[in-house]
Amino acid sequence: MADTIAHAGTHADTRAQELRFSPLEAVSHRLVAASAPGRVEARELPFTTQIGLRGAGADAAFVKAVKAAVGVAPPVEACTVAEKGDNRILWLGPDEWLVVAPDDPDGALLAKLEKALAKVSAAAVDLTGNRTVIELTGPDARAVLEKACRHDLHPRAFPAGRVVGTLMAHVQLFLEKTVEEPETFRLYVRSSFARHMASWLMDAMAEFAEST
Amino acid sequence: MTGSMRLPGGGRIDRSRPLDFTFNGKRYTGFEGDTLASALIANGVHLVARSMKYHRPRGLMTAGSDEPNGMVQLATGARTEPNIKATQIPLYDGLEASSVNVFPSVETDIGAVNSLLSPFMTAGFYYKTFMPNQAFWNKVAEPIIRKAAGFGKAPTEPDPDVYDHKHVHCDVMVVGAGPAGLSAARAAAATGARVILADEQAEFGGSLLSLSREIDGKPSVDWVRSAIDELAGHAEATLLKRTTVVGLYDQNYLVALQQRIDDLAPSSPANPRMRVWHIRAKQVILATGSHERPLVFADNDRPGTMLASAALTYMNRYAALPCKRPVIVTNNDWAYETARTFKAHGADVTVADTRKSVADDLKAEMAHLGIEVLANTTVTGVSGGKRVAGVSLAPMSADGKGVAGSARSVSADGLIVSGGYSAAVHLFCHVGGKLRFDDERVSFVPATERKGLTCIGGALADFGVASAIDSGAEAGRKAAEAAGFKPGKAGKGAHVADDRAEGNVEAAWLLPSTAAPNRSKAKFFVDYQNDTGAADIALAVREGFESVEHMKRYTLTGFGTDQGKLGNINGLAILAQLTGRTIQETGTTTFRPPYTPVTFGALAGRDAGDMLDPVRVTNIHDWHAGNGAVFENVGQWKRPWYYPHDGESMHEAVARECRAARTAVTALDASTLGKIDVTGKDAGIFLDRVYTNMMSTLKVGSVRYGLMLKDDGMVYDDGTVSRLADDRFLVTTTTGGAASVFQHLEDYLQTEWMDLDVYLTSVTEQWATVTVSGPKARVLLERITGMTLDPADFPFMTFRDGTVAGLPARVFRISFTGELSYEISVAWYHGKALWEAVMEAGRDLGITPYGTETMHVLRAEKGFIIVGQETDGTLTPYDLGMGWIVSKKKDDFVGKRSLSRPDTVREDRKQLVGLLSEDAGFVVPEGAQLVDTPVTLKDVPHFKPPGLDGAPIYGRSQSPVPMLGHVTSSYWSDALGRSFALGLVKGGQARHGDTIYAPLDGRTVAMRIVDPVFYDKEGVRRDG
Repeated sequence: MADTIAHAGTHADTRAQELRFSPLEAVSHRLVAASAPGRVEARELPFTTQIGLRGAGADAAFVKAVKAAVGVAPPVEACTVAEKGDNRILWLGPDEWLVVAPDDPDGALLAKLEKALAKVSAAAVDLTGNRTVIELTGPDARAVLEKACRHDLHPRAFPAGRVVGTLMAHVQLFLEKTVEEPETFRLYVRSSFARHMASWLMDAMAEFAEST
Repeated sequence: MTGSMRLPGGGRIDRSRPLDFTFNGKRYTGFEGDTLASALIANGVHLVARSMKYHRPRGLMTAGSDEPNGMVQLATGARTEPNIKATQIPLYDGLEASSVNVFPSVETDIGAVNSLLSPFMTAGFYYKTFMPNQAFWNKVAEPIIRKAAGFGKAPTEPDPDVYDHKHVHCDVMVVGAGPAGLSAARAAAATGARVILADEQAEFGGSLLSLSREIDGKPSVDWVRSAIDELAGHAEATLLKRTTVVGLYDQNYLVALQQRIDDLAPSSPANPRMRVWHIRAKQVILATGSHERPLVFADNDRPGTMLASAALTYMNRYAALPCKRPVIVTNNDWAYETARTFKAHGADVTVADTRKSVADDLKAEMAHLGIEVLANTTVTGVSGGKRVAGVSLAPMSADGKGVAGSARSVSADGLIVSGGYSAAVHLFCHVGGKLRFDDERVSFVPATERKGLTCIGGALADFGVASAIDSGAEAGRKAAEAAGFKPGKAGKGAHVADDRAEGNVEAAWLLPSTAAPNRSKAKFFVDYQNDTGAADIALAVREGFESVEHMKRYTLTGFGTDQGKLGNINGLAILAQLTGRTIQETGTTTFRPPYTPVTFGALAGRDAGDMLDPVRVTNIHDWHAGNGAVFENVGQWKRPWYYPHDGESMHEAVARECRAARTAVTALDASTLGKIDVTGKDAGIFLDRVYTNMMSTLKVGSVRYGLMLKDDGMVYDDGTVSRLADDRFLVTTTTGGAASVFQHLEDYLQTEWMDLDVYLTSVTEQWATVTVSGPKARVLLERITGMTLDPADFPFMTFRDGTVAGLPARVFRISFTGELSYEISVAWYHGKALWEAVMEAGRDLGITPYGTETMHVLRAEKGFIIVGQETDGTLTPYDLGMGWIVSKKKDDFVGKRSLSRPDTVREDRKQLVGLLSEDAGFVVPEGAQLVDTPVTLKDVPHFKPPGLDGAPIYGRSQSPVPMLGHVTSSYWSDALGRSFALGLVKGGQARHGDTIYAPLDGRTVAMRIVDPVFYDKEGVRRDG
C-alpha cells in the first residue's frame, strides 16, 4: 500500500490547527450543562486521532508492521481492544480495526503506519474527521446508554477493554468501555450524526440531572 | 345503591390518606392504596358501564387486568385516555373518570334500546344486514354505528406525556410476583445471578395479598415483606412493580410496560410517564398465576355479579365489601373461602353449588357458620336491572343436563360466581408453547418444553401456596444454575396452614336452564366485553363456523381489551359441547402479544419529534442556517435548498443563484456526497468490474466519471473515480446512495471476488467539500492558494493536492454545472474554515452561495442526469444516451450481460430527451405524462369493464391513449430565458424535432423533443 500524494491533515501548520471546528464544538457547553456531575457526564473528545486499518490478522507481516508503528498488535479476539501507552487498537471486524491515539495534527502516526505497511496487503485510512468521540462517564453512564443500546453493557458482559459496533437512537456507532470505575464509555459517532447523538444524550441524561 | 361499604378495619389501604375523586361527575372519597374499582365498591357503586352492543348495565366483575366491564375514560383534555380498566387504576387525589359507551349517562342510556332489538342483533347481524347494499352502508349505517360503537374517545390533542425505553439483559427473568414468582426470584438472586422480577400490580405479593394464609407460622403478608426485603438487598436484583410483561418473543426477549406516573403529575424526559423495558434473559420463569372463570347462565351480567376471587380481594386487600347478601354460585371448594370471608363481615350468604354433592366436612363447616349450601343446583335467572336483586336457583336433573323441579328465588344484592381457574398461559403461548387440557384441574396447561423457559404455580394450574413457594424456589435455583451460577442448597419446604391447594373443581360451562339460550329471552353471556352470548356460539355452529378460530371471528369472543382472559375458555368449552368434541379437540385460539393494551406513546418512546429520525449536518451547517438557507431533506441530510434574500421568492432566488454561476462565481456545500477509499493492488481490477467504463487505465492524479449498474443492467449510481496512487482510488457516490453503494461493493468483495486484494473504507465524513463554480472561480481561488491553476498544468478531470486558505486540501477539476469548477476537499473539521475563506475571498467577485435547486437547474441545462430523478431503476446507460460510457473492451462488468437482452435492446424503450414546451414561459410540472395526440385530461378514458361483446369500453374518445413517457426534470432557465425539461419518451432518441403533448389539469401543453444538452453544447465554458 502506498499513497504518493500527501493527505489532508498532514503537515498542518498551527494556523490550520486553530481553524479546526469539531462536530460538537457549537454544542459542547450544552452537553456539559446537561451533565449530572457525580452521576453522569458527557463531553466531546475532539480530534481524537482515528485511523481505519484493514488487513489480515493472520498475516505475520501485517501484524508486525502494525506493531512496529502503533506499539501493539491488532487484537484478534472479537470486540476487544489492545493498548500500548496512549495508542489503542479497537477490533471492529475480522479484518478491520480502528487505531485510536491522542490528537496528532501532523499525522505522524498515520505516516508511520503507512510507511510500515508500504509493502503489505493492507489499508490505513485517516478517519479523524470521519467520526468524533463522545465520552460518557459516571455511575449512571450505563443507565443512560441502556435507554437506546441493545447490547448488554453490564460489567460482567462488557468490561473495560471491550468495544462493539451497534445502533443507538438510529445512529450507527462504535461503543468502547474504557474505565470500570467510574464506568466510562466512548461513543465513536459519524461527524454528521454527532449533534443528533448529543441531543439524544442530553435528553437521556435529564433523568439523572434533575434528581441531583 | 350507594353508601359506605368500607369495612371498619383491615386491608392494605392507608386510612390516614383519604383521596377525593369523581366518577361520572359525582364526588367520592377513597384511600391511598385503593384502585378506582375498590374505591367505587367501597362507595357502593356497582353500575360502571354499559355493554358495547346491547348497552346492558354492567358492574365490576374482577379486580385485575381480566376486567371486561369496568373500563373508563380517565382524565380529561390532552391526557384523557379511553378504555382504562378501573381495576388497574391506582387511586390518586383529584382523579376524574367517567363511564364509556353511554349517552347521556350510565344510569339513563339511550343505546339501551338496542337491548330490545337484541333478537335481531345476533352474531353476524351487521354483516348480513348492511353489507349487501354498499351505498347504504357507507353513507347511512356505518356512520351511525361508528358513533354508537366503541369504547371511549381518543384524545384529540397531542399527547403531552413523555415515554421512554430501556434495554436490559439478565440471567433470570421472573414474570409475576406472587408466592411462586417471589420465591423463584429470591432463590435465583441468592446465587448472585442478575434477576429481574416484574409484576403488573402496584404491590408485590399476588394472591397472597388477597388470601389470608399463615406461612411458616407468620401471616402471608409478612412472608411477602421478607421476600421483598431480601431481594432488595441483592445488588443485581431489579424489582419492577406496575410493570406488565406484555410479550414474550423468541430467544427469551420480553417486552414489559412500566407505569411510572399514575397521577396527573407532569412527565418529562427526566421522569417519563411510562417506560417500555426490553429484556433479554438467559432464563425465563413464568409465574403468571391464573384467572378465575365466571359461569354461563341466564342474565349472568347484572351489576353486582362478581368473581369469587375478586370479592375476596376487595374484602381482604381493599377492605371494601362488595355486597351484604351474596348468592355464591360455584363448581369448586375455593369459592367457599369467599363465603367464609363474607360471613365474617356479617353478610348473609347463600351458596349454590353445581356439583352433585359437597364434601361433608365443608357442608358441616358452612352449616356451623350459618351459610346455606344448595348442592346440585343451577341458576335459572337473575332479577334486577342496574343491580342484582334476586337469583333463581333450581335443582338439576339426574343427568346434570336439565332442571328438575321448580326454581326458588333468593333475594340478593350480589351474585358471586366461580367456575374454577384457568392457568395464565398467555406468555407461554406467545413463543409457540402448546397446551393440553387437564380434565382434572379443568384448565389448559403448558404441554411442551422450551429451552430456558419454565412455568410455575398458577401458570401450571398448581394452586397450592406451599407448592408455589417450593416449586418457585426450585425453579429459581435451577434457572440460575442453567445461567452459569452455583445454586445454593434447597431450603426446607414451606409450611402453609389451610393451604386449600385442591378445589375439587368439577367442570361446569353452560349451566342447565329452563330454556336453551337461543330460545330464551335472557342472555347467557360468555364474553362480556363483546356482548357475546352462548346463543351466538350456537348460531355460529349452525352456520358452519365450527373451528374455534372461525367461531372467535364470527362471534367476537376474545376480541376485547381483556383479550378473552375471562370468557375465552367458557366460549370454547361451549363450542366443544355443541359440536360434540372434547375441549382438547376444540383447542384454543392463538394468544398473541400484547397481554394487556399498550399506549402508542409508550411504543414510540423518545422516537418522537426531533428525535424521530437523525438529522445529518455538514461542518458548514451553521453558516447555512445563519445566512437564511431554506433546507431540503436529502435522505437524513439537511442540505441548503436555496438562499433567499429578503422578500425574494424561491423562483427569484434560484434564478439569481443560476445567473451568478453563469456570470460570476458561486459556492456549493458538497460535503454530503458519499466517498469510499478503495485500496489494494487489485483496486483497478475491482473498479473495472463495478463500473461500466475502464478505471484501471486511469493515471494517478486523474479523475473519471463512472456509471454503476446492478446486475440487471440498470443504472444504479454514478460518481467520480480519482486515482490517488497505483493501488489507491477515491470513489464518490450520490448523497442518498452512499450507504447502499458501499454495501453493494462490500457484498461483491466478500461473496464473489474474495480473491481480490482490495479494502474499502467509507470516508464520507472524512472530507468536507466546497465546490467553487463560475467564470470567476479561478480568480477567486488564486487569492487563497498558491497552487498552479493554469488549465494547461491543471486540466479538466484531474486533481492536485496543496494548501487552500492555509488548509491541507485536495482540489478536483470536476464540473456538474458546466462552468469552470473546483471541488475543494479538506478534512471534515476544516469545512467551516474553508467555506468562510471562500466567501471572504469572493466578496467583491459577487460570490453567491447556492443550494440543491440551483445545482439541479444548472446540471439539467447541461443534460446531466441525477440518479433517482431521471432514473428509476429501469433505465440502461443506452436509454440515457450514455452508450459512450459503456466499455466495449472489458470482458465483463456488473450488468454487462443484461445489456444485450432482447428487452434492453428494444428500440422503443423509454429514452432520455430534452423537452421544450411551446409556451416558453410555462414550466411543465415534473411527473407530467406525455402522449402523442393533443388530448385533454377530460378525454383520457376511464376504464370500464368489457362490454357484452367482450370489447373494452372506454370513455369519450373510445380508444386508449398510449403513454409515451413522462417529464423527469423541469425548470425555468435564467440562461436560456425560457422553460426547459428533461423527460423519458418511448423511442425518443430518434424523435428529436417531434411535438408531443402533456395533458394537464386545465390545459394541454405541446412539447418539442430536443437534444438533452441545452447549454454550451461544445463544453467551452468548463475551462473558464
